[in-house]
Amino acid sequence: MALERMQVTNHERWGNLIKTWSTGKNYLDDENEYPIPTTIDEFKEQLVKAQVFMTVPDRYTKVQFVEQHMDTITVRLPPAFAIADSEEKLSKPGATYPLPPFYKRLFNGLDPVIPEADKFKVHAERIGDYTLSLCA
Amino acid sequence: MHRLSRRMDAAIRWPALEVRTEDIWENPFIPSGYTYLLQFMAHDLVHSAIPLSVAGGLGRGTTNARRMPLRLETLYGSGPVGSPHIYALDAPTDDRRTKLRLGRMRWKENAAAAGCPFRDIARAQAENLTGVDRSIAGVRAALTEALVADPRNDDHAVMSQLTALFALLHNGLVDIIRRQEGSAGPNGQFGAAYKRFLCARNALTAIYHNIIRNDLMRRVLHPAVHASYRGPAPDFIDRPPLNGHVAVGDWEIPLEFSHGAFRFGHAMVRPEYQINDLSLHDLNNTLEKSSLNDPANMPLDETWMVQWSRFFQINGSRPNLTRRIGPHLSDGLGNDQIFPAFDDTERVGLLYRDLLGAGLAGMWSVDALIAEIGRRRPHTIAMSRLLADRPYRVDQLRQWLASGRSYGALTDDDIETLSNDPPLPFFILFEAMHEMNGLRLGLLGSIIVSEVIFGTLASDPQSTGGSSLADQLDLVSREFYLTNLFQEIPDISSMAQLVEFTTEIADLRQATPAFL
Repeated sequence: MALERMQVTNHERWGNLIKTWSTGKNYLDDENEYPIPTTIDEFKEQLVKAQVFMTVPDRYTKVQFVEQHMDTITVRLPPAFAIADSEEKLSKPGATYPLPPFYKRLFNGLDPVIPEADKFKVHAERIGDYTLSLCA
Repeated sequence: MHRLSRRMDAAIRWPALEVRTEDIWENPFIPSGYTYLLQFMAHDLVHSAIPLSVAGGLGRGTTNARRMPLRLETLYGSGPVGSPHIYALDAPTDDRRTKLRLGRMRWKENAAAAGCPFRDIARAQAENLTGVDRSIAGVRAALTEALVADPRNDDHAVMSQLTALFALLHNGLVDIIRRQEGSAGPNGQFGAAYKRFLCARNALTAIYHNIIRNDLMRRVLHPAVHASYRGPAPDFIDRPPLNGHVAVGDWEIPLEFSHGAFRFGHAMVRPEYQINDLSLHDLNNTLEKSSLNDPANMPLDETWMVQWSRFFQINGSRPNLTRRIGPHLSDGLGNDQIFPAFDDTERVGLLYRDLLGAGLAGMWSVDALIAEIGRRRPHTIAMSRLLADRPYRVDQLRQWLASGRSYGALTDDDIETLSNDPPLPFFILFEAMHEMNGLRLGLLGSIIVSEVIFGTLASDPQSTGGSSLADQLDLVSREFYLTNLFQEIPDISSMAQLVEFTTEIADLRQATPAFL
């Protein structure tokens, strides 16, 4: 069975919620309070308050926040099963590499086209990028 | 309303069904194509200039302009004379138009080619006197104009593909007629074209009504309600019969339907769709794909060409399934670009609009509706404890609202108010979840929908529940020609049969991208 993924509807709100958790300053410009959640239920409630509209599959029962420090390299390893699942999906003929819709802005409004021959290259590049970057 | 809408953001903990599905929230009995057939029907029933929730009150452009409900005005507009932009020219030498326009699809990785098949709706570029041009210079022209009768039929990719499906069927019916109508002579060509158009339109309308009555309504309604309305002479609660039929124009679509019960379709929308064998698109992406929102990426490319066996069950296919019906919508319908906030609550999304529109419409309360139906049909109301026993109803609503109160920050007063006087669109979803496990509408929702849908069908003299489709098509044909030109049309009582027939007459069995 294919792996169900988290899906974010409102990416800007999601980014502002992360910034709020990280800095303690409310970037969502509303009346709500957003302490760092300690349970999956608190996490989901805050997503609703912030109107992120994120689909969180039922298999997630815990949430873990990892604070990164300037003197420590944090390499967040994705689950091997998730990599295998992506590779299987991309191996199907005609399968396209999915990108969040905001990437389109970076392509002058055109739907980004990743050629068939490049999709595993882009897959590796993106994994490398978001497992190492500081998210800021 | 915004606090209730937030409460409804909490996912529903559905009980497991005997029939296993990949996800617990899926309804194994309703494939996703029916979600969009419901939307298409809604467009064919109601057309107003501005949503009530945005207008802020009745009368400010919210009047329903649809005068001939469920007669496919949403597809045909005002016909070839009144809406020529949606029809293709028949011949190079005159201005006859009998076929609906279609547009070429696009291959994603290949340069534009003249040979792309006509699988999208027609779309066009138009220069603006404001100077606004959303084209990407030197790369792609922005096709900002969808050439369809009803712009809502290009609300998103699946909707425009469904519109193209109906257009393909209409065009195939025109071909069937043309093959048999004989030569009309030079002076008869013009009249012959209109006869051909009207005959094809009436045939498609008969097929559409047959599917609504026997397929769509059977799937979404409470079985007892469907059984009592689907026959040739239903005993309507809300309207007197007039010579066997209800006169068009004598009644308006009730707000309890348009802003209450019929919003249930929004709860059936999935978070993602397997569009065809190769492409899976999430709802956000799907909702964005229209000439209005994404003109530079039009026409639709091959990843959006709907393979209809993914949306209706055809020859054992495993289609996308709808969500079970309940007080929760897919997250994609909270998209703040497509459904932005418009009032001081800053609440985004479709759900809040539905609830606010219901509040502004001034419709009958749930209690009043139940009391009135109970007065006229006591046995029907007695079938449901949720409807017949008010204290039980209030208690069940109260328990549900209180169980997730942190989501909406609902106060005790909110919970008491909402459980004693629930907004109708919310109650219809709650009833479906509580009484029918989310698999179809409950009794109240089914009665409201049946009164309008079957009432509308009863107002069309050609659409009687008693005669077969073959008999109806025979009558349609003989209204324009001496013989029955539709003898080769099989019984089409379901969307699966409509798709299979369209595949044959449009010669799409071997199509690439796959059509069936």
